[in-house]
Amino acid sequence: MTEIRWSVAAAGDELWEGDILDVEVADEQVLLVHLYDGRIKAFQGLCPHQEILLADGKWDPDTNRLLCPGHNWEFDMTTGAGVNPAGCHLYEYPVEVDGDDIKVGVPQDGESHHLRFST
Amino acid sequence: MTTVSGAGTPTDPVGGDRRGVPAHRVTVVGGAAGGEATFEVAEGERIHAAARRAGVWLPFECGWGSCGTCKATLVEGQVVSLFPQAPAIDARDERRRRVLLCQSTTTADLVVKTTRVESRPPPERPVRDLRARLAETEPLAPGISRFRFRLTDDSGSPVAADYRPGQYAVLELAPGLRRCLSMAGPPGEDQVEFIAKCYPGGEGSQRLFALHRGDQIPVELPYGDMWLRPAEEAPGRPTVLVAGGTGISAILALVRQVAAEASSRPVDVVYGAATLTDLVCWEELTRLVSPLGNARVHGAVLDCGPGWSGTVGLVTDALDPVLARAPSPEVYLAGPPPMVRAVQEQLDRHAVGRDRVHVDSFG
Repeated sequence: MTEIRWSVAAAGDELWEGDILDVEVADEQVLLVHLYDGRIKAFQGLCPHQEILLADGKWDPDTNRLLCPGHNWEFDMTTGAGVNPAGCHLYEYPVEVDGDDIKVGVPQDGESHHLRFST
Repeated sequence: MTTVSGAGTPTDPVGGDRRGVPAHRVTVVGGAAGGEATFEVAEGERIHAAARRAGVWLPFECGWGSCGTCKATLVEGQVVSLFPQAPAIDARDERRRRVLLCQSTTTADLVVKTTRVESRPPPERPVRDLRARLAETEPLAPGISRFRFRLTDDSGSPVAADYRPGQYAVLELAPGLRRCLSMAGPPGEDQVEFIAKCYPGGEGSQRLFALHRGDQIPVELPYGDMWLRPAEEAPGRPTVLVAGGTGISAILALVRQVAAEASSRPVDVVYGAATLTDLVCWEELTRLVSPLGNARVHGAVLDCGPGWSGTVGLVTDALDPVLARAPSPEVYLAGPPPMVRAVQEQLDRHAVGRDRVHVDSFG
């Protein structure tokens, strides 16, 4: 089984419900999302299209949709699935909340955790 | 001769003499992707351009503050914005210390963080600072002209323009007065053409239309993300080129490319303007397209005279039947922002994926 290395990505009070936060975890660019239902998600931090920082995007916590500022690619942040264009996907990291710490797990699989989708 | 170049002034250091202007050290750390670089920025010089001039290539796309690709996180120091109303900056950026490197300068040393630092230009945007000397102005309609500029480097030697049809240049029409114009002609020559409209009260276009033959201005090119994706990537996929108003400048460059390649790709060109007079280059467009076996031109005007066989209405009215016939097209779209937004909404309604839509909204 692939080993997962856990790191503290942020403190709980840095990421309020309904907010997003860009962090670096073990040299990987990660986007943390705190959904209104309480779940905390971690996805690849750069758009699969042209590597633009997704945290710069337009985020709507009511619909859980994130719009990349570059070319308006739209993602459902409950799953990381592309809404438009459909078919693309954000890599999702495992998350653990340990006391006041938000921890993100980076699989030690030698693979890139930045999924790309080129046109 | 009216020279509108402000070379050497603090607000216009493009290719100018920066001796005597205080310079500051900027260190860029390349985030998770790694890389680090240090370069100097003269006061008034745009940080992104200073990096490029020092051979340090940081992420960018539009060159004037609308896309946000060049945003960086300020780690140490402060920047001075040269375009505080830039569309890509909002209050949240201020809280996150995100700044637009393409529209910021500094009065002190800085440390910033970007997603990457490269030592080479991206192949699609090998931006250079050049000088453009107006060679000819060709009136196309009242208030619409085609401008031809000769390109040279700082020493006055001719330079062949290196860009992809569909891209644009940033022209410095006066110190601090920068405007984006799409090249209408083919690359590889030491001249560029732009089709532009003169807007009453529009400072940039007024300045452009006031230029005389022989006047010289600094330009940077190429910028933008719209160019023809190779047909072999998706054989048979329809190509739809949509122009509104002087968005025809960029679309004409793409049509010329398709015509030069004598491409067999299925192409529909949809071009709209307010009046038939404003539908400039219509004959040129139909002449380019008619020898191609698989291409058609569709026009739309709101106000036409007798004999017009095209659509009477908006560009979206002419585009609807094209989209109904051309499933999953690759769309190239250039025009004024309201027209671009209307077409983007129309493309969403027709379920055209945003990965298939390439936009230039400065037309």
